Amino acid sequence: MDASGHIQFYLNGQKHEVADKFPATTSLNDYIREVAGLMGTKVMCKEAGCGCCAVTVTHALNGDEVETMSINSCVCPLYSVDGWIITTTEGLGSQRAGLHPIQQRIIDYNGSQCGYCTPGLVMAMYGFLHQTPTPTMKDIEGSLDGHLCRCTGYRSILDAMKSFGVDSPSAVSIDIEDLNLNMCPSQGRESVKKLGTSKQSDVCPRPLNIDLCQSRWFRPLKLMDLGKILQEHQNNCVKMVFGNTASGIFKHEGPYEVFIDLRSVEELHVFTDNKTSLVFGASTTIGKFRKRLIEYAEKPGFHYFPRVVRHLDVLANVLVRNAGSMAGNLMIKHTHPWFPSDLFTILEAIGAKVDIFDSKTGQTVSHNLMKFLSKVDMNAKVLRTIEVPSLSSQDHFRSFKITPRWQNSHAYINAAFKIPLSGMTVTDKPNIVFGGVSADMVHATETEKYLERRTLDDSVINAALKVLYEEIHPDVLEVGASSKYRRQLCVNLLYKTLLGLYQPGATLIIRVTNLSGKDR
Amino acid sequence: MTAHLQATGEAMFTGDLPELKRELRAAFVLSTIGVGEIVQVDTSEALKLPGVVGFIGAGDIPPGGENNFIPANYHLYEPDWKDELFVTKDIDYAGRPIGLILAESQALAEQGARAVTVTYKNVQRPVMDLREAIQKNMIFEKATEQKIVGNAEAALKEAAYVVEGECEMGNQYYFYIENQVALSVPSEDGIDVYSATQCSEMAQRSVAQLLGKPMNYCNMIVSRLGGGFGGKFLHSCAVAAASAVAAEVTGRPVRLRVDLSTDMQFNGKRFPIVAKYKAGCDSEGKLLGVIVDIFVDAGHVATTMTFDVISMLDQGYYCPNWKVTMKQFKTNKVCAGPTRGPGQVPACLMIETILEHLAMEARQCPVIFRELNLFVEGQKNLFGTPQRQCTLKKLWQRLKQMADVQSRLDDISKYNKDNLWRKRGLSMTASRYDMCYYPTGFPTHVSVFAADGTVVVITAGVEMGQGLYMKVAQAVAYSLGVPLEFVKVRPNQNNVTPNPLWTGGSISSERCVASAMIACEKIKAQLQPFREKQPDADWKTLLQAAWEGNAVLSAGGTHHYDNPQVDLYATYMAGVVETEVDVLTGQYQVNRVDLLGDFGDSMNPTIDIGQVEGAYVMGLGAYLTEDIFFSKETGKLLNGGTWDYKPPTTKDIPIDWRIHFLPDSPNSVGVLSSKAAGEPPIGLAMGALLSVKKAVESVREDLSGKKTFLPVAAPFTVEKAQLASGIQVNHLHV
Repeated sequence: MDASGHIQFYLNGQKHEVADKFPATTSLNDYIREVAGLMGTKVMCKEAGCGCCAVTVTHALNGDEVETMSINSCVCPLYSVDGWIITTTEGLGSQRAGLHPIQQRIIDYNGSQCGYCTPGLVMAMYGFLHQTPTPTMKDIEGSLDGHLCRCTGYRSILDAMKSFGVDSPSAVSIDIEDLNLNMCPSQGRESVKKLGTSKQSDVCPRPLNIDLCQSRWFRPLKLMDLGKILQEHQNNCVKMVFGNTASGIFKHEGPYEVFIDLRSVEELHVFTDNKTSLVFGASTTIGKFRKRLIEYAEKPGFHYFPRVVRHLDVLANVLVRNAGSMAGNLMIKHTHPWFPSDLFTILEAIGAKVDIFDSKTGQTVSHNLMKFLSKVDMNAKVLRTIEVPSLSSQDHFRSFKITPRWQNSHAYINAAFKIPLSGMTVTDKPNIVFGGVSADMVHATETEKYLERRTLDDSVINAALKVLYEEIHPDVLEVGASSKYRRQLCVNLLYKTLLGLYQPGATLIIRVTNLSGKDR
Repeated sequence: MTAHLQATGEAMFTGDLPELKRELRAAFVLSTIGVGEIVQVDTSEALKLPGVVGFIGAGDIPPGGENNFIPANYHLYEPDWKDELFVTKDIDYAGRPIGLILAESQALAEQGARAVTVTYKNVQRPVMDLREAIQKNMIFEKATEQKIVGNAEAALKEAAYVVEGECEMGNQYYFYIENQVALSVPSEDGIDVYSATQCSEMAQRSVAQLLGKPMNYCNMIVSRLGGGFGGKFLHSCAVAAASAVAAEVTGRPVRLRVDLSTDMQFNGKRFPIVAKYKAGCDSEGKLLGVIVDIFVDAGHVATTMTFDVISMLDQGYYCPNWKVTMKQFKTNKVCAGPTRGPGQVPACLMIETILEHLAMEARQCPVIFRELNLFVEGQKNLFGTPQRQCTLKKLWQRLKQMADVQSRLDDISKYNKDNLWRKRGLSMTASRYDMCYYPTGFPTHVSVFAADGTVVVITAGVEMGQGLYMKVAQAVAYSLGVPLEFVKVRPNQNNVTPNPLWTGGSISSERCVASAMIACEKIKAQLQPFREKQPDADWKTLLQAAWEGNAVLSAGGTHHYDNPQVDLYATYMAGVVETEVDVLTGQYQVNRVDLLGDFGDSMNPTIDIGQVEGAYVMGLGAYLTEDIFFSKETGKLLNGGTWDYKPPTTKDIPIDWRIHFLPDSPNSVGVLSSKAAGEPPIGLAMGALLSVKKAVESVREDLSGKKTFLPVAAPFTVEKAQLASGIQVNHLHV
């Protein structure tokens, strides 16, 4: 297939072709508001943190699986949306066309005061109902973590949205046909269903090679093609993008001469069940990773997945998890080692491995995460897969994320522990992994050494905590928590983990679902 | 009434207005140092960018214009204070606007602004910390206020229990979701300024002053705001004026949409305080005297935003003797801005800390202790105003019962005995919010269309999510006897509703309602002769007759209050909050909140419940999570974004939340017997801080064997909660 020099996509059923040369940093939000003139999609933080810019997108990542979800339009690069179907609030409903049930529900429950956050919340809910057509109220409450509202105090918004829950006392759930009312391009909603089989469809991924004057935008479909592009441009300043959600934290990096969109590289979307491990393509989104872990939670060796899922539930927010990939998150850690990547901390504690493709040699080499972090120069290389191992039923696994508020925050400290046990005896070297301490601290190696082969009684545990306290030296930060607090947190989290062996349960506050206004 | 427009995204905010021909976008260039002088502003790299059109700075103010955006004769902050819109030389805080970059797109304008290089000389280390400013005695001498009632020193000598202590509170940013924005459009003989402002008349003065033009040159239009909270006040004038200057100079429309980081840097915030107190009660627990020294971090100029800190300091509690001194100190931050409940939030922090401390000293249950000191009818507050229709005791006793306070306190006490690392706390507090009808009023214009009987209202009050338009529309429909669907409220224009007060202080909705009803009365008077002729005619028939008979079917009204400087009434509330704390990490949950408020006869309970909830959650942010960090070296704000600044989210709100309005409590002096609800609930969130603190005090007692009073510092973050627990490695056993 020849690479196309322009992009096309559907916006509220209308086909848009972009041949103009916008800068590569132009966001989908810029296009929707400034070019298409659709002002219902708002913009505020431009860093994927407030949710008012949410839109719903439908795309086939690698040509054979069509998905619908909501994302932040503010960090989504315009040139990555070739072949997508994009729905904004205007596509959902209006005074003239009639209100969409979600919009109506917001009104019925008085969930809008100033109205600026409202369309983003409606679109998040719309995308979520596609992903989860029969959600519980708890599911719904968990899906709105990416939104800020300063007016309402959220209760009314939650009540409105939770009325779509299958367990809602008002029990007026939504028909999937109603849901899809205005989503599809002009040929009707059938086209979305057909996408799965029709490779000829104009919404299927195709290679791109676009000259944007100051830069070039590529979208390869095969790893081999990606390798070629990387080779051809080894002397250029290259930016590989997927969800581009990291640009919300690391702003105005560049300028780059070459952008490579990894979204449709087929080999980066694999999934393999090796029985003793699961292999995820590096482009697996955090959201899909989470979903897969839920599927596998009952299988032998993967009993620890529910704990990982609980942690992933507080990694950024739903909209970011829909857009961002596992590789993207790990690459933030690689580029900015001080970044407290939750994914890295978890994967390192369980002993995950990564496969790295080198475009110079055409070879793929496997590394453990510590080697990837500190030894591998990623220039002209790309993360290919991530292998997640099964754990023995004797392995005691816990992970934590401590944040200034309940959700949608970076960690002050995150931690993951894997302690191989026989009874109360540590049978092998445990993994005691922290994020947020300093750029070069990952393992608490002294504490790991101390605990190996010891039997966990009160005096050993307290002595281990003392060893840990001595080896943790958090950086002094200008913003965020003090080193004193972060040091104590590290100790207390290991304590909670070990205490858990004596008193199972109750080591974390579990947030229960809000009581709705009408339940009282 | 515009809920359907908001739900579909059709509601038009200022930044959403369709792009105009030849429109330019603008972005601020801000100072990056706190103290020093500008040597040179080098815009050459910015101007090289294709699409960047120009730079507007202090040298570009039009002839006759004054580089000062502080509206004349408003007596804001220091009397006769002036402040440059674009700084010429002396920098006194980081984040001060130096100029605007103009470009063909917003992204280019922002890129251009980042490419401007400013060189400085005589750069000094800024003073960013209030305690440092106190120590260096950087006092604004003229701003000191003192209030003495009775003789507090003498009263303390007689007291059975006396406590002394200190409490403090930090900055809070508004965090409206619509950032500041203005669009200025040159017209044939003036300028149209579309501004997201709470104070369009102040903005109009700023624009006229900067341009050196008469007021009638500047046509101000304000559509709805995406939240205000006091933040679209003084600095919205700067945004409007900056876009107007750029439009005047270039002759092109200029839209200035301020990005979040810039907004957080250059706008004022809730002012930090440190307070030192000494207070005493008699052996039964009755307050005898309170002495408080309040130190305010005013920023770069003394502020009037403290105006009700002292007058509201006593909140719901009576004390006969007071000595309150408030001093303001200069730091190298932008001046403080009014932030939802500007006086009440610090007032609640101080008085509740004092009561909590005294209750512990007197070994009394804090709930009983507070109840003993609640205001009763006729008792005078700190400023000598007697409490009228004072429902505090009634609210308290009713809420105590509804929220089952006594048995829950017992449960919590048992829970805390059974658990070492997980603790709970419950607190109950009362609040009072004094309402003042300051001059001037809110002109409101009502027009009835004879053809079909529909109505358009233009009011000087600004709709910013508080439901002002809805309340006005309801009142107009009620007054004229037409269905609500007949009434639309249109964006306000200063040429229709001139010389209004700013929208703020919770009372704008009711005052706009009162103004609208005056206008309706005028129209009804016009209709009266025709009604007498046709007593049974329907609305349309009546209007047809009136039209043919030359009746005037539009009218303006402005409600004034005869004695505007005196508190007209107070909104009373009480709240109970229970929290649970994981003391090993400091993380907490607000398990349950019960609130009971006396809102008179609420004009619209649905709106007022929304106001209560929104205010309370903003209070949770102020007292628990929201913290601003500045660079000690440069004075630059370091957490200007969502990833480092933390307003509450969906899972930070109370899990079980019960809000009640006191029934059958008409406000005899209020508009339609109502009371204001927009700010009064915010200070009750102080109860959440107290209950987290109680939980932490419980583990401190377990570990140390001693019961001690833990000083209050807001925001009481997870970090502060954990560190205050006193947990050390040697406490950690299995």
